Order: sequence, then structure tokens, then C-alpha cells
Amino acid sequence: MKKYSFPYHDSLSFLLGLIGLFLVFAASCPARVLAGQAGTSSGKLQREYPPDKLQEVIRQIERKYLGESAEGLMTMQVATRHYTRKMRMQYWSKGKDLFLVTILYPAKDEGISTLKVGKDIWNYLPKVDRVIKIPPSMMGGSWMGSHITNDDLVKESQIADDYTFRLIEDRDGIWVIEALPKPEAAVVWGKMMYEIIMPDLVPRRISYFDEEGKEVRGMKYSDIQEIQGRKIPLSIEVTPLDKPNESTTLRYEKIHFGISLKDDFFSLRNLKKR
Amino acid sequence: MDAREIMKLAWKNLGRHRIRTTLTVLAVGGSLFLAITFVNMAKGGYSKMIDQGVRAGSGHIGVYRRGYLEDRVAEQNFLAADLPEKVRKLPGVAAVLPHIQLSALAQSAYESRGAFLVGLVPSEEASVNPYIQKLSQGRFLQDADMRKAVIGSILARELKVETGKGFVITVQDKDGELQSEKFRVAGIFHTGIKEIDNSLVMVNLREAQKLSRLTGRVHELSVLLLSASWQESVQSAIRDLLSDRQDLVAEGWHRAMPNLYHAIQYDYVSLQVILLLLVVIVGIGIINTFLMSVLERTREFGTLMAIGTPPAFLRWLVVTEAFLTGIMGITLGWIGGCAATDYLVRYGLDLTSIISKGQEFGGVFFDPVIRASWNFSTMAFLSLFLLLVCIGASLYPAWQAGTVNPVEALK
Amino acid sequence: MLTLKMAYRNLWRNKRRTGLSILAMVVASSMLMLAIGIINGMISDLITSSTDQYTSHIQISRKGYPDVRDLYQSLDHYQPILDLVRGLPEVTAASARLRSFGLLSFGSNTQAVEMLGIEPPQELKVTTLGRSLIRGKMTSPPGQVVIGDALARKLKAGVGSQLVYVTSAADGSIGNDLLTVAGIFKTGSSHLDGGLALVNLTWLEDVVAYPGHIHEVAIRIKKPDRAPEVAAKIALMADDPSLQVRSWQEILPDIKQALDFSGINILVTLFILYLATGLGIINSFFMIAYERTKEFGLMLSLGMTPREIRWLMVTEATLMGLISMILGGALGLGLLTWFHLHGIDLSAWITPVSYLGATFLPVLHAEFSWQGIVYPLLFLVFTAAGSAYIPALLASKLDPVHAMRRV
Repeated sequence: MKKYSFPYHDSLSFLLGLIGLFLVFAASCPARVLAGQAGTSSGKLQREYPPDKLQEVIRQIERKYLGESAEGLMTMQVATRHYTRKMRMQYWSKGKDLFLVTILYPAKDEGISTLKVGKDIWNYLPKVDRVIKIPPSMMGGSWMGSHITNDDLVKESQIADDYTFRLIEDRDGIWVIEALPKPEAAVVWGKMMYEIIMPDLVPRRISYFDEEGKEVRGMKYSDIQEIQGRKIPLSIEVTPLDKPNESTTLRYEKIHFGISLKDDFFSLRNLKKR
Repeated sequence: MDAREIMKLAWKNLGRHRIRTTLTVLAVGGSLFLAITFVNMAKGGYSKMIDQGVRAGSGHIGVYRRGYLEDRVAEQNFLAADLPEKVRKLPGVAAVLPHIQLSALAQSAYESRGAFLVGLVPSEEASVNPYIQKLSQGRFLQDADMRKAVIGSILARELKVETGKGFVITVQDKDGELQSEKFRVAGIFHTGIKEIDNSLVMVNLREAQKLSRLTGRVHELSVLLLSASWQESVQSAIRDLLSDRQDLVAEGWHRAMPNLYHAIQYDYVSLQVILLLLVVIVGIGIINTFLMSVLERTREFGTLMAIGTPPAFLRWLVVTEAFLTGIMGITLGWIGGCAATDYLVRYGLDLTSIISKGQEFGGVFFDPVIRASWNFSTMAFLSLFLLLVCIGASLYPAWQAGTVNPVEALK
Repeated sequence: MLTLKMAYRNLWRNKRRTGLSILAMVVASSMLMLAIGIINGMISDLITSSTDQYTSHIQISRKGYPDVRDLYQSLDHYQPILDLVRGLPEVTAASARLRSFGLLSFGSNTQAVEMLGIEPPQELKVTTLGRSLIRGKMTSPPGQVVIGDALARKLKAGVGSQLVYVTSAADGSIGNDLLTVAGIFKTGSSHLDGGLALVNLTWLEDVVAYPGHIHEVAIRIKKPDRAPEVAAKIALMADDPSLQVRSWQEILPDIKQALDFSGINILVTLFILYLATGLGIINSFFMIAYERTKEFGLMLSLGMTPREIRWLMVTEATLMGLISMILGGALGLGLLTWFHLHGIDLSAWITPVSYLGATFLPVLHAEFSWQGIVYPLLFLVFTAAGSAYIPALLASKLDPVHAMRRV
């Protein structure tokens, strides 16, 4: 079998992955669950926040925001060894399963749109006026050299189920949470580390490790702003640690939560219209 | 004139010209020895290719859902039910191997790769699966294994995993949904065949069935036979078993692996041509020896004629001598050929020093030890052919012997 | 000199015996030549079929490209190297190729493909995919594509179908364009038939936004078995350490191994064939010596030394060997030529054979090689001379009286 490198798909799914992540951790201000209980010693934290309680916290964050609909404008800057590229796009999302994204800039790619419903992804290519469904084997098969994988998109919402959590330390209001996959969980990571700003529950950094404990990928959250009463980081930077000087930065220019979007907004017909 | 008299005289003549007889017998025997060794080695090569081909591939007989061989679509699976047990009870069946075959995605923390997932029953495969001999790390699967996999060396390297490490397999289940499961590497095999080393992932059958939601179903029942001679009878017996399951077919390896079949056919036919040339070469040698030995005896025949021996008697004498020489030569050839074949069957011709790695041959493994295999029908054919050559070669001199002018000959 | 004259005269004294022996040697040696020719034909078929469809004999690429096939490990300013290669006397043709991996889509079917951008006239001189066309035509002006038969079936597309190709362009943008199917090929190799698409180089340069870049130069040379030497020569002349020049033996190690393996099988086969030829010759000379025992006895009693008799016999045998060599060589060459031009068509028994990803037409034909002509003939002469020596040794030790008494 040939090694099908298909970086184009990388960037699309990459984008979707980032949106997915963003939705999980964006707007974390109402997470009052742990508020006011920060600032204690590590040992005490361990006692007071046993793994199952931390897991419940993460799950609540997921549930709280996954059902929500959002609309926004964002820019994505991708730096690789070969090119630096800036894209501007508009997106709509509802829940964890529905996304629609349209590229506004650069002109060459303008109008290229992507629809994700559940585990299926379609692309619309305005130049040839065709919709192409990404075959399941390519969903991940094409992820070589990617900064992010399709798993992030599909499985980020299952993190609470797939991992067990442990509070490692409280570093002046920044909690370091270690997530270890459950033995039967179908995840590729050996470990994840969260740095979460307390008490607002805003992520600052997530690190992904392989089974040997070597860090493979890092995600840095910055530029925390208050939008619609929620504190969210407007910028996410993803760094693949095995590829120095490569990174992808996603920045929200405009974001609006709680808009009314029907499910049939995320249809193939609408994909072509956007 | 009486046949016994001719026979007696022929024997006497052969005994009298011991050196000449020995030389002729050696010519026939040596030729047959070479031809027998050649065909048996060739047969051994094919038997080996077939044997390894069926182990690595479909088995001698494969049971499939109709159309699976053409399309290889995951939906073309079938409920195994009690079919494996029924087939296993058939005489001549060595093993029945149920397989699930799915295209899959293998992912580690570093990489994603397309893969080919095969679900199998480890205990059934233990003595026959060709990859067991190719393990370069770890061990083969066991029935009790939970979420363990044996994967190809290139795939392991690309995913950056080794024995004990985990990776995620994703397949499309029967409803088209993507399903993932984490497996740990139990063993890594290296066949030297790129297409296999970079894609094959073997797991327990029940886990593959669970992952793809194909409980109790398989894509292939691969049937291995005690020997290739059972092919016909077992195949028809399986077809009888399938009479109430019109959606299933039982195909021989020729149909399931046409590439292997054609590769063997091609080699076989070209070797037949070489064999033909070999037979011409030894045939001309034998004819030459016979003609020369008889034609040198003009004087002897003249003497016999002079004492009143009828020409017909002389002619029969020459043919009988040729026949007897041929029989002796063929006996010698069989002794030599059988000894050589027996050695090559037991020990083979080890070529490991010349070839370093295992390799692909029409899609199967190549083991660099040339082994012979008995090919009695061709051996019999060759013997008969050489006997006819001997008799044929004596016809002209026999006719000549009968027309010898005694006075001329004795001059 | 005297020996030579005597030997020559002796030959014609017993015309029948000499004629028979020569006939046997002529037939055996020409058959041996033909067998070797057919074996050579099989080897050259294996090489030809495995290199001609796609691989070519030598590939030049950026160092490391063949392992990862990364779009960016490309050759730019490749014209000088192309000119250099085309100027070499060993080279028949050279073709520039740009490779991209992406999705080819028709209707609701989408397949991952290897898209090869080629310059059709040059490429057709290097590889023979054009001859495997089963529908449509090979010429691919920009916007047309030639795909494999299995790929066409998976896409449910035919000649004239309009496909979409999507890939990641070199500048990070999303390259996509329409393609019309111009032709469909079927090689018998599942890898090529199921995953390869050929397009015009300039069209692909445009779609992947990578003008002026290629990934490999595919080269066809006159003598495929000399590819490693020619590759080394090209590497030396190009003098660019960032280039990788690979012969087909390096690109297709499994074919090379299979050839090595066949080489051993062939060695065994040749051994048996030579042995059979030798056996006939040796036997023939033993027989001759045996039948002439009386004559030797006469010679000895006439005062010839055993040494002289030995030499006489060996000279006779050598002369016969030389005559057979000329006649056998002529007959062998004739047979070789016929089999080279016509061959034996086996297609009645077997369809095209797919073998290690290569495909053969099932025609057995002979291929010339100087070893396959010179060795059998030399073997003939030496075996004749050698096999005459041993009986001559025995004959010269005869007791003349005893020998002459023999009838």
C-alpha cells in the first residue's frame, strides 16, 4: 500500500480539529465547579479532587458547550518549512457533530467550503463546482506530518470518558492536570497534560505525550478576552514538537455564541451555497 | 525362429561386448538420471510455491461470499455458523482458518497509515501461518490475547511502535460507522515484501468481529489440505456442504490466487520447453551411441549370415539387444534419479549462502532451499520415451543388419 | 603436423562413424544454445516487464525523495541534467516526471491516487504504459487523464468521464481541477491499475502550483542489465551530492532477488543441460575408441608410440569438435534467430502473467547473449578433446597382440 500523503486534507481537518478543541475549552468562565477552591496544596488537592471528580469536571465542561451553536470569523496562520500562509474564514457550528466552514481569503481558495456531519466530511470546490466526500480511509490515512489529527475532532469530546485525571500541582492558580488513557481507550496518546487557569477554568496549555512520555505536540492558548460574559482565549497555537519551526496559529476575530441554527443548515445544499 | 532363442543370444551378445554394453547403458541411464533429477527439482519448486502460496493466501480452497474474490468488499461477508466444523471433519482437510479481512487505519502518537486488518484464530494458525517464521520481534498471537496485534516491520517502524507498545486501529463497521480500538503489539514480522510489511495487521478473529460489528461472520474460510492431491475431492465435498447456501462459493487456489497460478504456469510451460530440449539432447546422444555400436558390427553380422542365420532373426536380435540395453539403462537411470531426488527431498539444495533474504515470488515467500518433489508420471513418461528412442535407434541398423552381404562384410 | 594430416585422413576413412558423432554434437550443442537463449528470453522478459511499465531503468531524484515521496523534495532547474542524460550514448530516452498524491473523484466515488505528470512523447519512449491501453488513447493534453482499469471500475468512470482531482498544492493552497478520461490502461499489476493516473506535466505543475519542478527523471537505457554502471556514470557526471541516481536493481530489490534466485535455478538447469550434452559426447568418443581397439593394436605393432596414438586421437576429436562447432553454431544461431523473431505463443494456455508486480505476455522467445553462444561451442570442443583423451590413454597402453586378436 502506498503512503498517500495528502496534506490538503490535513489543513481542513486541522481547522476542524482546532474548532473542536476551541469549543471544548472556550467560554470556560461559567465553570464555577472548582472556583474558589484553588490555591491549596498539592496533597490537599489530591484528597479533595479525586480522579473521578476531576473527570466529572471535564465532562461538565464538554457537555456545557458542545450543545451550543456558534458563528464566527477567524484567521489561521500556518507556518511550515515550505510556506507561510494566512487564511481567513467564516464558520458555523452546532454541537460536536455539525460544522460548516467557508474560506474567505486568500482569493485562490475563496469559496472552498467544508461540511462535517458526524464522522463524514464533504468539501465543496467552487472552481470545479463539485462536492467531494472524503473517503473514511482518508480521514486519518492522510494525516501524515499533520499538527493535529482527525481524532482530535472526533474524540476530543470523549476525553472525559477515555482518560483518568489527576491533579499534579497548583502553580499559583494554574492547575496542572495529568490525563492518562484508560487501558481500553482507543487513543494514541500515552498521556496528556493540561494547564488550566483557575478559577476561570481557561486552558493555557495542553501537551500530548507518546507512550514513552515524550512530548509530541503542544497547544498554547493565549489572548484571553471576555465575550458574551465568558472568558475565552482568542488565540491557539499548535506546535508539533518533532517539526521545529512549524506551527499553526488560530485566532478568533469575531465570535458569537447561542445563535439559532437549524440542523438542516448543515446540509450539502447549503454547503454549495456558502 | 523363436523368441527365447533371440533373447538368449541377445543376452549373450551384450555380455560378450561388456564395455560396449556398459557404455550404452551408461548413456541411457545417465540421460534418464539427469532428466529425472531435473523434472523432480522443477516439480519441487512448484510444490513449494503452491504450498507457501496457499499458506500465505487463500488456502488450497477458499470459501467466500459470491463475488468477494472479484470485488473484495467488506460487506461481502458471511455467517460462518457450523461450516468450519463441518469442513474440518472432511477427509484430507488439515486446517480450516476463518478470516476477517478489512481495510483499516493504524494510528500512533506520531503517524497514521493505511493498513490491512486480518482477524484470525491463533490456535488454528499456529502450525500453518507463514508469518510465524518471519517474526523478528515478540511472538505470535494466542487465543487468550486481549487486544494484541502482530504487525509488519515497515508499519511498525513508520508508526514508531515496538513490542508492547500501543496503536489504534480504525475500521468501518457493518453500518459504515468508524470504530476504533487500541491494540498492543505482540510481535513484529518481516517478510521482505514491502506490500505486506507496510500494511498487514493480524489480530484475534473475535476482536476483529467485535470491532467491525460482524459477530460470527467471516470473509474467508481458508481450507488447507493434507496434500494437494485432495484438492478435487475436498472441493466437491465442500460444494455439497454449501448446497443449501447459494450465496457461498468454494474456490480452488487457482481461482483465488490467479497471479500465483499464472506465474507457476508460465514457469512450468517454459520448463517444459527446456525439458523438451534436454530430451532432444539426450535422445541424440543415445541414438548416436546405438547407431555406432550396431553399425560397427557389420563383420559380426556377416559371419552370422554366412553360417545361415536368417535376416529376420538378425533384425530381431538387434532390436532385442537395444530393448534390453534400454531396460538396463532405464533401471540405472531410475536408481540414480531416485537417489538424487530422495536426497533433494530430504535435504534440498541449500542456497542460503547465495541469497540473503526471503523474497517474493509471484506474491509468496521464497525459501532459498531448492527441494525436489516426486513427479512419477513424468518420470514414467521419460522412461518410456527413452526406451522408444533406444528401440527407434536400433531400427535402422537392424534393417541394415539383415541386408548385410556376408562376403562384403567379412572382407 | 603429420598427426594433423593423419587425423584428418582418419576422419574420412570411417565417414559414417564421424558423421554420426558430428551430427550428435551439432544437434546437442545447437539445442543447448537454444535452451540458453530461451532462458535468457525469460530473464529479459522479467526485467523488461518489471521496468518498462513504470519504473524505467534508472531514476534520478532528490536524495531521500524515493523513501518519503514528499512533494517538496523536488528537482528544479532540471534541464541541464536532462540534457546530460540524453547526451549519453547508453541512454535511449529520458523523461521528466512530477508526482502528486491526492483524491480523484467521479460522482459520489472518491479514490486516493498517485498522479504522475509526464511529457507524453518522452515518457512513451521510456515506459510502455501506452501499449497497455485497453480503451481510449494515450495522448494526454492538459486537462486529460489516463487511468488504470481497476481505478476506473472503482470510480465507475469510463472514457470521456469528467473527474475532479484535489490535492494539496506546494503553496499550501488547495489545488483542484477537472480532468477528462482520455484512456484506460490495464497492465495486470494491481498497484498500477488501481492507483495510478497519468496527466500532462504542465497541467499538474499548475494544479500543485509548482512550476519548474519535477520529482524524477526516468531513463531508459540500451542494455538494462548494465543499469548500475550507467547510473554510477550519471552520478559521477552530474556531480551533485543532493541527487540520487538509482538503477532498477536498487529500485526493485525484489525483482533483483527473484532474478538472483532464477539465476541459481538457471545455473542448476544449465548444469544439467551441459552435463547431458557432455554425456553424449563422452560416450560417443568412448565408443569410438572401443570400436577402434583393433586399429590401435595395428598402429602399435607398426611402431607408433602410445604418445603418438594419444595425440592422434585427441587431434581427431578436436577436429570433429571444430567441425561440429561451425555446423552447430550455424544451426544454433538459426534456431535462436527463429525463436527470437517468432517465439512460442503460450497464450492459448495462460493469460498475461502478473509476476512481482510485473506483467508478462505469455510468449516464450529466445534472446541472444554472447555467453550463450560462445560457451556451448567452446564447451563442445573442449569436451570432445577431453573425452577423447581418456580412452586414448587406455588405448595407447594396449598390448598390441591382444588388441589385434579382438574381433
